Amino acid sequence: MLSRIQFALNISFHYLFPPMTIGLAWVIVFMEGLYLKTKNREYYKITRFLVNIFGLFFAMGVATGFVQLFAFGNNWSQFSKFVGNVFGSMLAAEGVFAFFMEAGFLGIMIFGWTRVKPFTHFFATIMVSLGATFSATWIVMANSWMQTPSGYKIVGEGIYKRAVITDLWEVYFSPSFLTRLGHVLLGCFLTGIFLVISISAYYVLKNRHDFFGKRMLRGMLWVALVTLLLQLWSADSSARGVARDQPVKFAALEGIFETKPNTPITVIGIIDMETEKVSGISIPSGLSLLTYRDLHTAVPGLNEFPKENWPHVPTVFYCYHMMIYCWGGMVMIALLGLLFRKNFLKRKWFLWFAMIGIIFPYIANIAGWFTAEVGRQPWIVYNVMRTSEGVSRVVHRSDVIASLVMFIFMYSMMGTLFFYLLNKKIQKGPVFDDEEGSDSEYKDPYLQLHKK
Amino acid sequence: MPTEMLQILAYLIVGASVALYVVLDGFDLGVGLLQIFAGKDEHRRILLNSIGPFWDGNEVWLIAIFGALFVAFPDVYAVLLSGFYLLIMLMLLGFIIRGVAIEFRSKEKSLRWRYFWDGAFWFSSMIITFSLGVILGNLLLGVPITVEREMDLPMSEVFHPYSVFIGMFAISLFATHGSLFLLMKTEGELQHRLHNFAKYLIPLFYFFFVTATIWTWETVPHITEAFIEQKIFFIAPAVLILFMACLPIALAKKRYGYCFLSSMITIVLLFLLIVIGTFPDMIPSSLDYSRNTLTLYNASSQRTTLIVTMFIAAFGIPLVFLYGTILYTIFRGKTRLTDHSY
Repeated sequence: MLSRIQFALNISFHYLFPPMTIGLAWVIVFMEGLYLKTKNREYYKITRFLVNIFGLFFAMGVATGFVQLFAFGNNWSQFSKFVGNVFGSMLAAEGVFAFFMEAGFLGIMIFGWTRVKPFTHFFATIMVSLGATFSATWIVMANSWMQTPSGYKIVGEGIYKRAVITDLWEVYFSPSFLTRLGHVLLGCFLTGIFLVISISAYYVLKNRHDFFGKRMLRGMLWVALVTLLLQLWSADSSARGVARDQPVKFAALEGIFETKPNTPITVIGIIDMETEKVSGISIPSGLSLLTYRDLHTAVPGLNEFPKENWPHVPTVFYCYHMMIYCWGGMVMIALLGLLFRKNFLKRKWFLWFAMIGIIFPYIANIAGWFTAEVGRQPWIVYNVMRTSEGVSRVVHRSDVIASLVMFIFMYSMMGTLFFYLLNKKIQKGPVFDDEEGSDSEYKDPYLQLHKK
Repeated sequence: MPTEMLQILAYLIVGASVALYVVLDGFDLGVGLLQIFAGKDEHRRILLNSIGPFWDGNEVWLIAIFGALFVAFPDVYAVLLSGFYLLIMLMLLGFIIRGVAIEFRSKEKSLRWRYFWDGAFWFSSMIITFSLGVILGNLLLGVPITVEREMDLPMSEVFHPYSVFIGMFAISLFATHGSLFLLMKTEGELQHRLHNFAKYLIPLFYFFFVTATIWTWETVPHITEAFIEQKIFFIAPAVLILFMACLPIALAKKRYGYCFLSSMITIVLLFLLIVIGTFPDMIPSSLDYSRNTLTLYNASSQRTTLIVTMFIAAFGIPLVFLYGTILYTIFRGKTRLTDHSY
């Protein structure tokens, strides 16, 4: 249990950053592309500003992500031995194909403004974005195998149990992989997009950096709306995937205990584990309709399955609904924003709303991840290995507690510093020293190119 | 290809990654050990920025090592990480602090803020280097691995005098390596200062090398068996001593490029000696050496996975070298500060 807390803490803190780097990286590619196309210096400033912020998120992502690869062996050594054949190659591939790419080109992206030509820099930006995306791809692939294992067989018994590959293709493309990947990546894009929306709303509100503020806000709201609609479609296929592959988890998502035809969907509700009932507002037949495209087919309830295979139902239920409310919040920002796009300043409350809107994709990411992972319990590999079997046998309680305390302390310190610096950068805005008349070496790369 | 060949190839991939990691992250950890002694803020910044574009990619090699272990030798991966639990946690903490220190240091103008982070940078580089050395020391000594492939090593035994000494050896090695890297990246007064550092660090490294060699001979004599059986292996230590002798000569002649190159070769050869001495063991068991030792034959993953590993390596490694070449070419030459520097 302690190991689970530790893993959850590490991964949650880590997961605050990568979605932003992935999303923001593509926003930067977009902006830098616009700059190269239009040669408008405003886009250049925005790109540089966003790269600055990106660097901050990236550093945190790397620093916390470093821990993750070790965590499997540290706390979950039995699991590591069991899945090494299957799982190891995905993590190794992530290291080789994604991390090196990111780390190699990040240097150029952050330090290379005056060292390389604009197009080389643009290329580096694209490579960083691709690297970040690949990284997510391998991780989701590995995680999807844990959710829906396929293409393997088990040899050995007890502590010598090992999963062995029988069909490589099936291992890599486990049934849930592609839908989940789409869902996760769209979540990342939304995070990046809403960061820009949030910052530009703040600038409009404070009447600063006119171009970044108004122009970006308008443009990004459209992008957000399209991405949100795509996410709706992706969410639908993910949910139906869960219904097909992990019925227990699916029943827990909606708190369905009894199997009844015309299964309702809960819009808002409270779950009571004592009486096994969900009270609140629900739409009759809603879940049947969404799952099977049919009003009557019953969704199997939790009672169909032995209780020892249930996840912690309330956690799954609330996290899942929280994620959906956050999606709703984002849709509201996008729609209201587009409605008010002629004059934002008339409606200050909207700008405030859009500014704090950055918390929606964040909560949605974390809640979604919790839904997926807590929903997988009590299994570490779904229906194959229990979480309790996967834990390291030689690691002492006291060691885990000591390291846990150490990490909590570190993380809270880092978190505070991170917000302090992020705020400072945003306050400063897309302004560089050269424009304040200082003696910096910065020059517009295009001007430099023409001089040569 | 017979499975045995695949296993040896996988072992060589892991080995080559370790060697590359030590050569590459060795210099930036070394810079971390020295940066605090550079004097004024401007000099400290130059040292920090000399590794600015590189340190991240260098650290990825550590990820690559453990990724390769996870895929090709999952049991070694699991035993190593769960067995050295607290030490690894300490090292990871070091990596976190280090990354944050590099990134945050120059974000404020106040000197107190900057010197605080320089302290953190030095401290974390020390912890990482020392832990790596201690782990290596323990692996050379042998660790208590049971029949169930678990290793339960209390913290007090982790810090065996021999392992602690190897940890200090690692610090002297990286500091020397880092100072030689910096000589290529700096100029003027700062370079002069670093030249003096290197002049004292090289003899210190010699001292640690000689003592560690004798101590290893005494404590783990089986490492020398391979050399006695196959006399040809003596070429490796001979070449090693040759290149070690090059260090002070190239330094005195101010041929810093050659000096750093010799240092890189020295490190690779040092590691090669260990590989020759321990092959085919990966983690020797101190409880029952012949039965419980994890070797590259009994701890590897299945054939299919090894083939996958080969594919990843065959496609991935050339790409990684390509990125590396691009990066080191763009940022070659002396380090100068600009407005987007750390």
